[in-house]
Amino acid sequence: MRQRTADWSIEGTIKAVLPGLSAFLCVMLTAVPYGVPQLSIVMPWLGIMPIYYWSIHEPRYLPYWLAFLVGLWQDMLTGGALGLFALIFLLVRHFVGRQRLLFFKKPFLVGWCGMALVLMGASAGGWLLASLYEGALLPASAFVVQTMLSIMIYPLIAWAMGGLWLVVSD
Amino acid sequence: MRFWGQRFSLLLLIAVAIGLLIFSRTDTDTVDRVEAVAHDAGAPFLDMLSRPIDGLQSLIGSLRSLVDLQAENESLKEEMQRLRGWEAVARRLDHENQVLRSFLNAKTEGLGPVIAGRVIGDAGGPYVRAVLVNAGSQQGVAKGQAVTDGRYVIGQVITAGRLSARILLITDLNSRVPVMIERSGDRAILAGDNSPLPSLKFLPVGAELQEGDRILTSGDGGVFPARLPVGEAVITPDGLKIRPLVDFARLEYALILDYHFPELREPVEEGPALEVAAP
Repeated sequence: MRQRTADWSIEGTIKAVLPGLSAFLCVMLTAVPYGVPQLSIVMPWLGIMPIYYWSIHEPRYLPYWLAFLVGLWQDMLTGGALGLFALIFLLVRHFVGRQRLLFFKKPFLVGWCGMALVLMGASAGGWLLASLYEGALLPASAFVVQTMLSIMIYPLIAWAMGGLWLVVSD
Repeated sequence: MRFWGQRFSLLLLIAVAIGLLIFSRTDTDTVDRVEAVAHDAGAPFLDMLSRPIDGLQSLIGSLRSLVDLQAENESLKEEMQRLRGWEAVARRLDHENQVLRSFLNAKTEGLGPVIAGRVIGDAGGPYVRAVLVNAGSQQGVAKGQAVTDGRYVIGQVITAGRLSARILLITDLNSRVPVMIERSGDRAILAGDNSPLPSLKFLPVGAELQEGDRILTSGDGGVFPARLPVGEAVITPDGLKIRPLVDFARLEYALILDYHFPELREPVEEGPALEVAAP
């Protein structure tokens, strides 16, 4: 069996870091104040989208530890339960990575439906874990609206990631 | 072999994440310190990313002002006239207040310099109501300090890094602010629940909250100076709730109050009795 060797050239390094960088950037974009009333409460969950996208398209450039670190970064910016997003991103990376052939090079609608399912599951899990952590039920309506907005905005993020994939793919 | 290595790293990282969740629940001080370092690291990037949005908002604001310039000018003139009257009243009351305090040997409230920070992060989502500002311990910010937007209470500092600080908003699930009803003076605790409208807890028996009642800080506990406006009572399907007066969506700057609770009065030393002039 032919082993893939690490490419330490400048081009190879750029390809290797772009997926991780895009994930960190998406997390940062979630944290910027946009000045739109109530938007921060239901801000689309941009950080999970690159995790989903790269788990399907280039899982070799998004190892488990990187998905964990992106989640940890989101945890720290959010200021809530430390480890919550790290756990969610790690599980998304694992389960989507295992089923990646269901979505890889399939019509966009298939990938979109997959993202919608992942978002619904991750939001429900996040709501449950955060409620357990706080010892009180968090308002579920904000999670529902956030999930819907995230599903709606995914095509835009997927389009941007698609542009990056042209650079990253061999 | 590679498969087992991946499986092992996955299980290890899941264990670390669960460990962190438990640890952050039990040792909040350490977590706060780690988060403060992370906020300091992220602050320059967030600052950079938020500037174009701030610029765009200012541009939209300027264009709106240009359209309404004449009307705005008239209303500002009227407001200035009104405020001049209030300025005279405020000066007289301030003087009177100082004189009366000197008679009573009362300690003044220890309000130090105000520290201004620009809001550079708003990442809580549906989980946490908090904002990040670009002022930290280097500027004198410390955990627990009260924060306003210049007029109304926003929340209090929950973590203070060297260059940045995180402010827990009054709408957060973990926020508790000692308040009073302006009309009656009844004390209560304003408790956030992550919804836009916090509620009043521990109102005394017989105290009545009415729609439109203004809620002010009571100063109890010594974190917030007394009588800062917080919100007003509004009717909702869930009963009376408090609508914060601050507009969180348009929060550009946060003013952090370097406030110290006035010290307990020292025992009065033996001395000449206060002579009160007979009328």
